[in-house]
Amino acid sequence: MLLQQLIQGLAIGSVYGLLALGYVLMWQAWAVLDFARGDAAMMGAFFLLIFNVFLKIHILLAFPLAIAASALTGFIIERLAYRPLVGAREINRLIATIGAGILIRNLYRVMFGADPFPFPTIFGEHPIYIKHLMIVPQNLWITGIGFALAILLRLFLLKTWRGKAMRAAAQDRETAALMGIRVKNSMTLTFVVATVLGGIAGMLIAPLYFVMADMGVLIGLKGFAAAVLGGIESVTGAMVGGIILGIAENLAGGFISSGYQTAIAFALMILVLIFRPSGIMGRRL
Amino acid sequence: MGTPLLKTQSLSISFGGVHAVDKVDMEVEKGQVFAIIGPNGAGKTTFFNLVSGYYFPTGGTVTFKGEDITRLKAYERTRRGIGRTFQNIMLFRELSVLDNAMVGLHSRLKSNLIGAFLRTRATREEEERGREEVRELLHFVGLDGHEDNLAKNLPYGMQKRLEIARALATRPELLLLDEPAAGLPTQELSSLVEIIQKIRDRGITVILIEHKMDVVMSISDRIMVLNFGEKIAEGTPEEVRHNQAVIEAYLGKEE
Amino acid sequence: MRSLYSKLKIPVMLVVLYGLPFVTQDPYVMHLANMAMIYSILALSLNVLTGFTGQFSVGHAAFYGIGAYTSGLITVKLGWPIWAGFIAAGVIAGLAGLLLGIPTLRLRGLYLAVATLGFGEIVYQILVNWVSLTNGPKGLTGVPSPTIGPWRLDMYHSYYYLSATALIVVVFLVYRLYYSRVGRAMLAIRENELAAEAMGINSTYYKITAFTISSFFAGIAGALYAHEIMFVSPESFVNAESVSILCMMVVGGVGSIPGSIVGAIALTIIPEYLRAVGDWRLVLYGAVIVLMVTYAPQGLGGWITALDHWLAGTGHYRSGRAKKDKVAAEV
Repeated sequence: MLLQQLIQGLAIGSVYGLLALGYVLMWQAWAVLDFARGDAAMMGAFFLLIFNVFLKIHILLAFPLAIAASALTGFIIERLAYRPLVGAREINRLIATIGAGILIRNLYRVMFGADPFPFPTIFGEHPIYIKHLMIVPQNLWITGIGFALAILLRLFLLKTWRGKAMRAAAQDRETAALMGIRVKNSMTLTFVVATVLGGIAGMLIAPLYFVMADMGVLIGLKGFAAAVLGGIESVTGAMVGGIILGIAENLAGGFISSGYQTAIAFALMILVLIFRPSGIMGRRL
Repeated sequence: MGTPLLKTQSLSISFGGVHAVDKVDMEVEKGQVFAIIGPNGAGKTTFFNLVSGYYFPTGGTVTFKGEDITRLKAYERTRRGIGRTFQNIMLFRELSVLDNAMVGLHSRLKSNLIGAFLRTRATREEEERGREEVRELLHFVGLDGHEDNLAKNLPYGMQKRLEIARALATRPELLLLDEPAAGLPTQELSSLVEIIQKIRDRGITVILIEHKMDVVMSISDRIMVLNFGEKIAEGTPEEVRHNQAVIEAYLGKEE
Repeated sequence: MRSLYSKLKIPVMLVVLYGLPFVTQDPYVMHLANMAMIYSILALSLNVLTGFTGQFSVGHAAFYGIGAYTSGLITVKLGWPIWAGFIAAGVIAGLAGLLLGIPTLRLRGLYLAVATLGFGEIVYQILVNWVSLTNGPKGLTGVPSPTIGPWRLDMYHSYYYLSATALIVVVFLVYRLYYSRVGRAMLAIRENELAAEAMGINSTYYKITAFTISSFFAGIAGALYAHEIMFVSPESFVNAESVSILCMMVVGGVGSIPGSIVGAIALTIIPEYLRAVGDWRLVLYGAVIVLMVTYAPQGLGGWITALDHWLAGTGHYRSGRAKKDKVAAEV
């Protein structure tokens, strides 16, 4: 029972972690608390739904197509709602992300209606039994993909020139510009990467939940809580925060009350803010 | 002599292994104009931040009027009589000139939330007296007629003078001026020197950081020289001018 | 002509405000008018925090909800008089703000925003799950309507006198705060926290004060809401509601007192007109918000002040008051 809760927590936690990575990237490069992160996940889930279910494209092809579509929409949104506000007041940038989120969410509601779409399981939901331990393959897949992506992102940021440029631009725009880094391009790239990561999180979670226009609101908030838990400046922290949140939520759901699941996630977040404001893995906010 | 107004003992701070201020001992007597000079990056502003409570030292103590203030926060030091200006002007840009100076009165006015909501007679009278006092200070630094302008709309030199007026409004016994002459055109320098002398004549002790040597030499009673966070010399302007260590520190950089 | 404008400005506004029920008593219109008053108070309350000290809350609906439930529970379950409910709503919401503000406002930056976001979710979850106290998702019914002497304010148009008066009192208090020593200290913190400390201002103390006042007013708005629709349920205090309040303040202009009111009225009424376009209305709502903050970052308040100065003929900073209004609008 406990082990199962842990495995399930690990799976959902790695999805939160992917979303948290988006918050970390946006915080670093754009210095903004991005309220439209959850909607990126919603769009990703819808793209996969469109390609795989509506157009009946095989899942192995539908995935890359959905990722490409996420990247493209990320680019468009950045141009329309984020780019014009570079250099504006903090609160105005924050409100712009709120406005963008409302716009995207309701655009999808207009296009697809408010009713939830069921999503077929792609990873297999029939449990495998190892002695008394029941394992749902889908949870393993989700965890695996989540971690693989986080590791890839870390390698990208640490090892490639593009990644290094992104980090440099995030830390000190002026110096980065002097070093010949195109800061604006770098910010665009960060936004697209964050949107794709969010989109993949949405695709992974689609078989667990229904796909609907409002699905991004709550998981977006959870991803944010995970980012704060882990420390909003740290890529590793984002994944750690996601896992802790996922497990804590599942244990709370299993042993306390499922009604308070979300409340416990946020109480945890506030406690971390009060006692360790830089997060579990962070140095300082 | 009695107790010095300000005294630091072995005052030090390091950032990531760099000793920005290293074991500085100094004393300032009441009524002096005391200058701190040194090359860029010598730790002068860091020293100010330690004295005014913006940084807490990694070692040593700050004593003001015989009281150890090393662990006090910035606003608590202001209330005890240490006023300051900032190197890169830090005015309340969207507030009027008058309001900027009125903020300086903050710790000496008493009206609280109840007074604000009810606008009691005591509150109104206090505000009125405050405005009178602040107008006098603005006149003192030559800003009369600009009371209702927004601070951000003032020309540079006036902004620097507003910072001084605002600091004076806190009724300091010790005033820290961080590069008051920086960026000022030559014709404004003499009126700045005049203002600083008048501040001293009011019985306020002044410590200033300054690069413009003619200003420093003409008004300072004593000068302390910092280099790489360490005090390398202290004395009268005449003594410092002929100090070998100082000449070396400034080699080729004499302004 | 111009001095006439200055003299008549406030009386005309009062006549328009209190005259509305004489023009129409249509329940739909009057309910909307009440909501506009309540949202105005909420946007103003947030402005005390953001416009004055530069901090902001992304969970203000929590304090609104605490106020609504406090007054609702006290009057329904304990049978206390409604006026006691109103006071308790403000006090309990203010206390909640104080308790959340003390640990988070010591720190600089977006901490308060982050904490309020979480706090909003927690309060909502408690309202939903603590069924024995709140009656859960079904909500609390039978919240009484107030009586003043012989008048029972149980119709939307009669209740409107109460909500309009509440707004006037809040506006009055916020203006008083703005022009006081306390308000000046808060503005100084917003403009430059380090310099404010150099003036002897304990910035943490004033940020907490502002946040407590802000939550207090939000709590009062909550009570006003509970007794207007005579029913409270958790759905009225979801995260989206916090976002709406924030948008009203920003569209009105951060730091502008008239702006908050106009922003709240506009964002209460506009979605109703947009009903004609069906589901597209929230899409447009989102687009309007993005466009506003991008192309008119000073909000509606900037335009109102410009118009006011033009009508009053005080385009330049002549009188102290005109100048300060201008400051407010430009922030």
